[in-house]
Amino acid sequence: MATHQDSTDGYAVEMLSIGKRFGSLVANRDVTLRVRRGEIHALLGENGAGKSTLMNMLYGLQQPDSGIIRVYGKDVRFDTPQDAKVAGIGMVHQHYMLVPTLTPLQNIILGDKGKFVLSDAHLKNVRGRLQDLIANYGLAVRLDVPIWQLSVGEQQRVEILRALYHESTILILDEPTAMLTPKEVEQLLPRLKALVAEGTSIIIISHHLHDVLTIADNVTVLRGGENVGTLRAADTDSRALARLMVGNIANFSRTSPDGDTTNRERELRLVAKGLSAEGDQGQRALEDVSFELGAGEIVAIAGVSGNGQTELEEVLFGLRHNTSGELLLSGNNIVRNDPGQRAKAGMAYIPSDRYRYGLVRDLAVSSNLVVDRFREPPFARHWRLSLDTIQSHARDLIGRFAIKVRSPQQAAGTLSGGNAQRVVLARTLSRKINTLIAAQPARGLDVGAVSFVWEQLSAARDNGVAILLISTELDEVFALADRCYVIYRGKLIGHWHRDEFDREAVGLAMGGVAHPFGSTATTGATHVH
Amino acid sequence: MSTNLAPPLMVADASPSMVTRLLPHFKAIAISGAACGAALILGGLLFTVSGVDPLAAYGTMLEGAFGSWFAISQVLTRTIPLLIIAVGLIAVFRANIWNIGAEGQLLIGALAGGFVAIEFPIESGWLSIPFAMLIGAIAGGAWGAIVGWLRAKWEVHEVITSLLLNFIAALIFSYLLRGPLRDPMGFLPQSKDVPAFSQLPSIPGLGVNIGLLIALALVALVTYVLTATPYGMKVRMIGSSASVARAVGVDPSRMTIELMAISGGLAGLAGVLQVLGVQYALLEGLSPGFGFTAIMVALLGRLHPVGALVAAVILSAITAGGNAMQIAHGIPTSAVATLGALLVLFLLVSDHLAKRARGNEQ
Repeated sequence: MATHQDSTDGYAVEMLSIGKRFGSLVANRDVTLRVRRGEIHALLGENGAGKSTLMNMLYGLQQPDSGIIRVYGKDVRFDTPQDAKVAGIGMVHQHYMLVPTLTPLQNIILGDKGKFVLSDAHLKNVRGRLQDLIANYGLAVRLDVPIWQLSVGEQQRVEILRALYHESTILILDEPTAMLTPKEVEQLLPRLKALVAEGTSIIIISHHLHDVLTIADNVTVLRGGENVGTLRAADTDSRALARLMVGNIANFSRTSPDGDTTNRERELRLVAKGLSAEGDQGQRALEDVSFELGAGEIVAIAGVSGNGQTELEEVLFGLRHNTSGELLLSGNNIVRNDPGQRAKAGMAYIPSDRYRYGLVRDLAVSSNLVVDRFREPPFARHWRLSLDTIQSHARDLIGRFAIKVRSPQQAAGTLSGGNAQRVVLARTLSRKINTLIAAQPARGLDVGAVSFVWEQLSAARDNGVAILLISTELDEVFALADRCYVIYRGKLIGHWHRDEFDREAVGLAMGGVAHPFGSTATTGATHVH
Repeated sequence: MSTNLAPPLMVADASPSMVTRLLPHFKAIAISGAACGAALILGGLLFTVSGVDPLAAYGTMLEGAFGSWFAISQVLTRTIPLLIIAVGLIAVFRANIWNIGAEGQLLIGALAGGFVAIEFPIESGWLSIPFAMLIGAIAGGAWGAIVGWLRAKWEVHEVITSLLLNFIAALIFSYLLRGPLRDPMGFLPQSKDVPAFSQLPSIPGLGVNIGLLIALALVALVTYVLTATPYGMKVRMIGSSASVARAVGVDPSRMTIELMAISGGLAGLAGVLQVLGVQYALLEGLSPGFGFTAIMVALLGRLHPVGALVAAVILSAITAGGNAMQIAHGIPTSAVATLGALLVLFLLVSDHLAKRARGNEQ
């Protein structure tokens, strides 16, 4: 750090007028970010706002199309992360890059250049340096316990320790609190403060309003790839940040065109009562989730990704076991039913990961259009597939859903994202269903495809299908939903009817701040611990 | 390794046009042919290094494999177990389950089927032969199902379990031949002979036992099941994506056990046929690695039963012709075995290249 003291201006990082496009998608437009030496600077924004792209460019994973990057006042160009590391930039990814069977010490020396043979002297030297760092910054890391035995919080400290060992003076932390327990979040803060007190500069990528306000000195908000404001954390509050993050309230608040439908008596289709579930790492992913879904309505679960949406869709369709709670489909508890039984009962599923649960890459489009019913007539008769029926069915749906294929025999794995989604939609909506779990139905699609998907979903709703829409896109939620909840860290917080939709309030809830205003009812989940 | 060694579009995805339907097959055959040619050239170099004129060597090989009716019948007899095992392997490989344990499943099937044929003779070939076949298939199937169950229940990788069960099966086989099943009158560790009425009859005029017909029937049956039935669709589905299968109500765990039982059962059947149709007794060396060669047959046949038929004949011919080469030119049999391995290697590489070429077109 001392080597950089001679630099005259006080900025550790300057990213000036950065532009970056991916094909037709503008990820960053004229973004300027200035991070002072020795400050914690938060980068706030919704999914897809351009935060990760901006940081990837600073870390050398991607290169800007236009603009200038300066580190400690010097113009730099990073072609690889190695270049960025040499300039003193370290990154701690949201999903840690650690070898689970190795100890922290081994993980850290793994990246050392030119050390094919580890001498005892070298190991001792490294251990000494690490112990100094641990003592200086209070980073409590056990150097000789395998990673897999460490808590998520301690693993994060290993990542930070590694960055410091590599003499990084600028740390980028991607969602540092996402995987931590509230207690671990509390412990993280003083450690970061200790780091900046020593002259380290920290950039935090986050969408948790509370964390941002308590940890950061300054906040830069990105929306739609642009910088919409840099504020001092002390001078702002979560409402103002939420407004910046999700856009202008006046433009989006709207009254329901069919307000009366929200009050109409509905036949209840899907009722969740206190559903809880664990994620893949055994962490609590869903806590006490309760909602009601009636025939002919779209109820949305909004929220920033990674707050339990994946686990929720899997639990609802029987692909993941819940740990407690009930799920009623038309009054019957289906919590122990497998996906096949749920489908027979009239439930359907548009998965957020269409290649994980939706499409068989190696099978033809025609086969993919019947994968949920090829064992039944008219597609199968007496032990054999009715290939002609499968073909004519495919041609029919390819026409009706405007799927662009060279032939029905084209393998599904070769389709573009939009066409792949049309195959999933065509299959799902051409079957007789009464309840639909639609998770991120328009993810990654171009504008035309998005409106097609939305039209199809509203048409299904108008035909009486009960639709649960799980979406990270507020625009989608507001365009389609009759009611919406927000999911935050596995809990449903906040509940709005269409005529009360309010970007600010929903945006706040997505950032973890549930306010009573604009909300007629909050679920009990908010108060459960 | 993946299941898309097979041409991507099978009959289930039948197209209205004959040309578009068969085109992928022609392509696959052309690529296989080129790969075989390359392997033969490299094998020829190997023979040249051994000091033998490669053309003469290949001539001897052809002569040894197809030069006489007797030679042909030997090749076809050897084709039977390879083909029966390979069609079972194709079914599991297509489902992305890698059964390396056919050799053990064959031995267990041979033991069980041979045991009932020898120790519980029913004096009618019409009854005793099908009964022994059934018992052998069930035993081999059970041996295979262990592997499927371990994978479905405990996620133990099938390559490891099936491979290790080979050793257990071989040792059980060896023990029983030296102990309880040993013919007290014989010098070698082998069982009593299969009674004459339980020995497989020959196909008239061909000198090959009727196991060949069973093998051909199985080729047709497995082709049909894989391409034209819901069960075949399920197999291809879990082969490509077990998670999608689960999401549409197909149980991959159950399928894994079933398919391992089918694959093991066919290997067991091949074992019984070897006892009843070729050796007429249980003895050491009953299988010169048929269970392993059949893996090459399945891969060489691009996971298609008809392809496996061609591959089984080719590999049998290489073995038979190899013996002739050894006698005539003194080329070690290991050099000939290398030729078979080269074929598989080139085929796998060509498949990769073909896939990459397709990728570039898009």
